[in-house]
Amino acid sequence: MNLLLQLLANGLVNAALFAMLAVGFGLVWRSLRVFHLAYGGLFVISGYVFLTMCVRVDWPAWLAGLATILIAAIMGWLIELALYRPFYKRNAGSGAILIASMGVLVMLENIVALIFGNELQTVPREIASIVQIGTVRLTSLQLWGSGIGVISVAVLWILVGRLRTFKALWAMGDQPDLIPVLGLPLYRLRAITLAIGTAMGAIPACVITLDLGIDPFVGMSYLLIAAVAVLAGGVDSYRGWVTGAVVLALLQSLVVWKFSARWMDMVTFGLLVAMLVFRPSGLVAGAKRVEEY
Amino acid sequence: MNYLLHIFVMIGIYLPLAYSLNLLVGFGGLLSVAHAAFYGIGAYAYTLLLTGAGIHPLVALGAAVLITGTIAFGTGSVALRFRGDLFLFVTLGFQMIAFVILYNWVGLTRGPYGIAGIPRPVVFELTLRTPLQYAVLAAALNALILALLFALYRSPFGKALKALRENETAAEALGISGKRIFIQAFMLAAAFAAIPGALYASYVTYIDPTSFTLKESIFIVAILMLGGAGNRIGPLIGVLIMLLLPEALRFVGLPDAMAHNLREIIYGLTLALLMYLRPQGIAGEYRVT
Repeated sequence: MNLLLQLLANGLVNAALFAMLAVGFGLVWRSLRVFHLAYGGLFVISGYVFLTMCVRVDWPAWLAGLATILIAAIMGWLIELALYRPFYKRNAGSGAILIASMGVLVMLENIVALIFGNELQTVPREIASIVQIGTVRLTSLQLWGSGIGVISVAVLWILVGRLRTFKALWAMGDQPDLIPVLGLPLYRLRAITLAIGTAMGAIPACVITLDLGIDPFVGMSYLLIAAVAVLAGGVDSYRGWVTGAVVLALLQSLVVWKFSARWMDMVTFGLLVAMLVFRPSGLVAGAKRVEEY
Repeated sequence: MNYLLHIFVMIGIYLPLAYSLNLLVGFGGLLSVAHAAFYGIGAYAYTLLLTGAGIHPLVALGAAVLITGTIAFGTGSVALRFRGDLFLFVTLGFQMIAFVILYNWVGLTRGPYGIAGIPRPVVFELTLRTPLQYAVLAAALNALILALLFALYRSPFGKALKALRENETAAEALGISGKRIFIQAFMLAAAFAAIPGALYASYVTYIDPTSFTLKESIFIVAILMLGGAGNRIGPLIGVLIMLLLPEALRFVGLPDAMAHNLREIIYGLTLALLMYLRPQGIAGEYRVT
């Protein structure tokens, strides 16, 4: 029972991280209708930027984190300029964009590997202090990470619901051609989406780098987590992305409890296939026909 | 010399993989990233039948093809409820699940330890050992597989697939059942992928699940995207570029540690540029949509 509680607590910590990843990914997917594989590459770069600032520049973690988020936002903007905008202007199909994005993912990961080497690198830090809640023990780092996660996801959630810009982003996902008609800056909105999405992904990148370290090729696995969370929760609602992330993280913890960590991917992708087959609109979305996608 | 023959055999392994996936991607217009899974299932089925049941390599090969085709029927009937991006995600799910099973079902596949000492195939009383013999075997297998696949490309079946790719509703109005043709194409593509799987297993004499990852699937798709899909020349060009380019870079004299990363950077950049400039690949007919 204690083990289960402990694993559930770890699952919730992961859920906060996954939710940030899923929100960053989902925002881009929902607004640009682009399967943003390069997100994995940006995640890795963010992690290394953070690492460099901590180790070489010797900034405290919070300052390095803030700087990383800023740089990530600029990188997202650049990706829109260099990658997605040309494809959009050319009216390319989603498959072509997906493959191009994958090419960029491979490229970014290997550029990082070329500069920093292929090995896992960690941020040297003192052992994180342990906080005991009942029978559950969490490191202070885990608490900080999940706290930041909950706050940033919640803040963005409120903004998405209230701000006119985000409503425009949502509308852009449905009818991009109508955005200029309404007098809204289509390209600026696209760039803003990518900047926010990448910045969102940079936060878990910092936390994970600080906690576990980072190597250049983790991008794909975190990308897949984000994609599965968004697909399972439902592409069309912010609530869905967060729900998907939480369900995924808790399911993974349950697998560790019941079987072993080695079967984790089985559950992740089993969930993906099962959701697509039995409930293609996602966990929290209303009923919708497959043809509507 | 052996080095050249090795490259020749590797091309002989990737050609059938590219050409079989071409049936699904190029002709059917369905982007699947589960091909390495079927390639791996073929390799494992062949190996386990050979080492576990001790049957003749040719029978084992036939059985491996049948097993892979059957598994493809199961996965295909789920995946083919979708088209476009969602189809891709379902195949992605299957690829990952297949890998996890191969990796973790230690009782059957020996998991991460892999299976070593796979017996050499015996053809007409002759045990194949040298690279030259394998090159001949690969050439013979390719001649057979490619002839079959080219016949399929030209057949009414191939034309029906193309019709479905262009416009499924219109094709169905002409009496072509999308459901039936697509599942057949999915099974055929997977079954054909089992043959290079068996060839790979018997050539390297060692298999482990890391040869059949999502990365490998993406690599096969990239071959088609680069060379082009939907006709007979595209996959050949793709295979030649993707397999020979790394070898060519080997002679440029880059330090070993950098060579791999640089190669991947070139490959990623080319893929992105090509999708922008020429979405049908270098010599393809089918444009990715």
